[in-house]
Amino acid sequence: MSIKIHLPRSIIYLGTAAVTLILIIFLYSANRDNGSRSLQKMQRESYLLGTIIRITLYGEDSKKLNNVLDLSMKEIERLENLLSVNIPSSDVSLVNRASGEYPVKVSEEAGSLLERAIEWSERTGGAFDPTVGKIVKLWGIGTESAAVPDPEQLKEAVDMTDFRKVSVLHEVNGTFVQTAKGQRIDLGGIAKGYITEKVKALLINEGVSSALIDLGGNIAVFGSSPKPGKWKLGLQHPFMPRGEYFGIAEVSDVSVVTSGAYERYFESGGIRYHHIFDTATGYPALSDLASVTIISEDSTDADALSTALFVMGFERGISLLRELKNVEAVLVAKKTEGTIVYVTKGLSKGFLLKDPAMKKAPEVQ
Amino acid sequence: MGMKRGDRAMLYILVMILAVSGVVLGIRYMTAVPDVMSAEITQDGKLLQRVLLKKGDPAREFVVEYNGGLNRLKAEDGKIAVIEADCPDKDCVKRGWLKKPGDSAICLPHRLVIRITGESEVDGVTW
Repeated sequence: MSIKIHLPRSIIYLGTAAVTLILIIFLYSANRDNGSRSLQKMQRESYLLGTIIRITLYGEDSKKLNNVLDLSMKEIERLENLLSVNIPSSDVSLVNRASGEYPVKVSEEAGSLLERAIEWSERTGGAFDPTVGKIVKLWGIGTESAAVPDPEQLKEAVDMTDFRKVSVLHEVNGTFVQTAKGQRIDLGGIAKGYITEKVKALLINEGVSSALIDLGGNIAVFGSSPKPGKWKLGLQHPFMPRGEYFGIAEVSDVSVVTSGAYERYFESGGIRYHHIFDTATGYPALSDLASVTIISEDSTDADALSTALFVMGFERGISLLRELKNVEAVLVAKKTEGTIVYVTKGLSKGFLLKDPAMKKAPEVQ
Repeated sequence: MGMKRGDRAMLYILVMILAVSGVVLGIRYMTAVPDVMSAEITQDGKLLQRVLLKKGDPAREFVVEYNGGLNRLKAEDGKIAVIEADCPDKDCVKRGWLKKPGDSAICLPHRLVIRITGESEVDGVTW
C-alpha cells in the first residue's frame, strides 16, 4: 500500500523539477538574448565617392559610436577631395591639368597612393594602370554622355596610357608628381581601397572594436562579427541583379573586393560596354572571367588586384595569385562547360557556393 | 486513488508551470518568425520613409523623386520592388522583389536605397 502512494508522488516531484529546470533554461536564454542586445549597432549610410557607402560599428557607447561615424564620413570626404578625378581642386586634377608641363606639389597621401598604384602596374604588366584616365574619360561610362569613342581618339588615349611616364618625387619641401603630356591620372581602381584602409585606421584609433566598412561594395571587416562565428559576406552574382550573391565568404580582419563587368556599363547597338578597360586596346576588357573577388588584409591591394585580375583573365590571373602571399581569391570563369568557380586554397574552407548552377573547381594554389 | 493533499497541491503547481512555459514558448515562437517586416527607403543616406510589409497586404505605390528623376515603388503581400525608374541603367528595377531581411535595391543615379531591415544570412554583399 505504501509503495502505491510513494511511486506517483516521486513522479510528480520529478516532473515538477524537470519542468522548472526547462523553464529556467528558457528564461536564461531569453536573458542572454537581451544581454547581447546591449552591444549597440550604429550604422550610417551616405552617398560619397560616386557610390553608396555604409559603415556599421558595434560597441557599447552609442553616443561615442555616432561621433566616430561623423569623423569617418568627414575623413572620406577629405580623401575624396584629394583623390577624385572628378573634383577640379583635387591633387589628381591639379596633376592632370599640368600634364607635360611641370611637377605638381601634392599631398603625401596622394603621392604615396600613386606610388602604390604604379607598383601594382609593374607587377601586373600594366593590366592595372593609373594613367588609364584618358580612356575612361573618352568612354564616359556612368555619365550621361557614355558612347563608343572615335577609334583615332581612342588610339591616342591608349598611347598616353603608360605608368612608366609618371614620376613621383619626394623632395625636402614635399611630394611632387609629373606626368607626360596629355596623360590623365585616374585612381578609380585603387582609391576606394585606400580610403577603406584610412577609415579602418581611424576607427581602430578611436577605440572601435568591431566594424564593417562598405564603400560601394568594397568591404572591410575587423573585430568580431555580431553573430557567432566569422563575418559572412555575400559575393555579388555576376549574372543576377545587384544584391544577389552566388557564394558566401566567411572571413575576419580582411578586406573583400569584387570586380566584374556588371558593375557599370552602357548599351549601344545591342552591345554591352563595361567600365573595366584593357589598357592595351582601350576597349572594355574581353575577360574570360565573369568576376574576380580578392580577399586580402589590405584593401588597397584588394582593390587594385581585383581590377587587374579581371583584365588579365584566368590564366595570367592564376599565375599572379601564385606569386602573392596572404592574398586569397574567388574567380568566376566563363568556360565552355559552364560557369566554374575557382577558390584559392587558403579560403576553400571559408567559402560556401550558393548557386547550384555554378560548379566549384578543385582548389587552386 | 490514495492521493494526499500535498500531492494534489504539487499537481496544481505542475500544471501551472506547464501552462506558463507554454505561454512563454508560444510568445517566443511568434516573435521568432515575423510575418511583418519593414523596408527603409533612404536617399542620400537620409531615411525618407519606413514601409511596413505584411503578408496579404494589398498593393500600394510610392513615387520617390530626385532632381527631376523618379523611381516608382510598389509594396504588396509582404514584399517591395522598384517597378519604374527613369535612370539610364535601371539596376533597381531589374533587382525585382525584395522579400527577405537584408534584401536591397540600389539606384545609384538617384542615390536611392531600399532595404528590408532585420537579420540577414550575410553581413554584407561585395560588388
